[in-house]
Amino acid sequence: MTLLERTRSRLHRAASVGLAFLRMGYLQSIAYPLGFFTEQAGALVPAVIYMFVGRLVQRSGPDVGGDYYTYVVTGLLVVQVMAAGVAGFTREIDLAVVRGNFEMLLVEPVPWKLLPFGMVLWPGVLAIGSTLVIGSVSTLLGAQFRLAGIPQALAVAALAMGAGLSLGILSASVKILAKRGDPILFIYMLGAQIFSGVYFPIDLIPSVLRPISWVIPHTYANVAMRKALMPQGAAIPGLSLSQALLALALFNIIGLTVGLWVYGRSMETGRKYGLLAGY
Amino acid sequence: MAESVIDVQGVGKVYAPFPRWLRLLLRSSDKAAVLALDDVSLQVEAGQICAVVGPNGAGKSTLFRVLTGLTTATTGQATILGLDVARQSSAVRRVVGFMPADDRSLFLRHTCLENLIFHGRMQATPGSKLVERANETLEVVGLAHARNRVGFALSAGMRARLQLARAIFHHPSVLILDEPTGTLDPVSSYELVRIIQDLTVERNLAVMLSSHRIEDIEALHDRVLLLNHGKVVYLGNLEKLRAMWEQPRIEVTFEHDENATATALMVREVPGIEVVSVEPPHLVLGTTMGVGELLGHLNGGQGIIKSIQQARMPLRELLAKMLQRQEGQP
Repeated sequence: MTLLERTRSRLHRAASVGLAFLRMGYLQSIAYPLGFFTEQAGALVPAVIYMFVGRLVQRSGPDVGGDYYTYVVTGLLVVQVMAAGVAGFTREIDLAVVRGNFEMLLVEPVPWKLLPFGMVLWPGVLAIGSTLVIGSVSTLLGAQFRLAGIPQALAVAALAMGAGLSLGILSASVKILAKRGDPILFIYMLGAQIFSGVYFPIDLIPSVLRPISWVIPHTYANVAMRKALMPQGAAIPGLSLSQALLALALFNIIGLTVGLWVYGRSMETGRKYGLLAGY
Repeated sequence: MAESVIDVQGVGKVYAPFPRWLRLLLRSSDKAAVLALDDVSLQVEAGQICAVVGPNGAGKSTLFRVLTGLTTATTGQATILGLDVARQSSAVRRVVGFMPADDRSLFLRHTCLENLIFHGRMQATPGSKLVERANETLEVVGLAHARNRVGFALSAGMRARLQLARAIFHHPSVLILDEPTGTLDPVSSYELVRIIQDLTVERNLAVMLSSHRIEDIEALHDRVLLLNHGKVVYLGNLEKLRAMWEQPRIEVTFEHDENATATALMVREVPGIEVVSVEPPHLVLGTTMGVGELLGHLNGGQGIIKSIQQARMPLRELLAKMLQRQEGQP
């Protein structure tokens, strides 16, 4: 088999696995319509809450891009997109374990390193869908976005999801061995909510703690998304759009490399101690 | 001699106690290493079924997990079609069809067809052939009429057949079936075993199957691997097993129930005769005596003998005897 044929075969296999997970994710979602609807509707709640908070705060300085409500909503869009990457894989593993078909997934002839990418596809699609809904509803509620920035925003979303996935793979690596509990995810999500600037500019964080913000990919995704989508985003002090995109790209390269290596080690440890089939 | 499709050489598996760092994540009550498999060797050829039997904790599931790559052997080596199950696990899973014991491994909210299509896509089956192949496979296992029914609406027997359909969908060379008849009634179990036998012949499969149902093992009538505490107690065919271990038995049927009981009491003291069971009016005796000599002893008892015939030792008893012997019990 030539290199070209091998590559084509691998791509075909990856596409086929991706399609399998997309279809099954879709079927799972529509099998529980009420659960699906309430989950999606729940994502809208913060957008409504912050409309009122925005009115209360009435902050319009350059540090929030001239409009606090749009500033927070943009942060919420990033949270939504990144959550698919960060929590999607772990959540899908949990679901497979609860349903009882995780062991069977591991026996499918799919390289185990392909599973994270396949399993987050549907959560990713859902995240993009709910991001669009949140964006539309918040526009109706008074948020203002720069339509010309949508192509850049899509690039930010793709990189943010990749960076999130690398953390998600790390988190799942622990989950595979620990079965319950998710220390990496817990610590990260807590940190991201406080230190990444979703709800307030990171300049408000005491300088001693601020370095934490710069090691979290959420921070760069927030900066990039605001620069891309907010009408006065360019005025927000700090990194430029291209610098934030570069940082996210680095998170992708390093994070995915490290994440997949740790995941591989975790699976091998699971095989050694017989932890892949028992929960 | 035919080449082995499944080749297991001296495979051992010791579940070591968790290291300290792992115990921080997951508690385990095992303080000492657990020996799950001890120097297990076997070969299964194409067209052959090997039934793996043994009590709970004998090592059957661990052996299957080693073969499907879910766990690694501590010692020895196992190959399937020459592929090392530890190092070439992904390639091995392409040629193996696996049926786990738990039917929850199916997507029970979805139809039979969707279950097979998902599996087909994971196998990278070309999209144009997916539905056609799924329908063909459902036909083979007798589920064509239920193709659009969801898993929850299927009986246990139908779910088992759907699991089997998933295992054979991609035309594997090897089938590994973990207690396929575990939850089935005798009729469904018989039907499933028959489908497995037909498939083994038609597709020239090498099959490993674990079961607690003695009637399944007798029906398969092929090779048996008897495991206990991870060790091989017996590997070979059933007839040889019987020849090695079966004790001659005579079943005597009396006209009246009380005669069976009285005769049992009487012959209990006779050297060379063992009372195996008394289920009036039947009396089963274990003995190597000729029928004439035995009748001489029985004539002392009262009552009319309606029939006398040689009885086969039940396989259940045969296996139990072997396990007792292995554990040093009389």
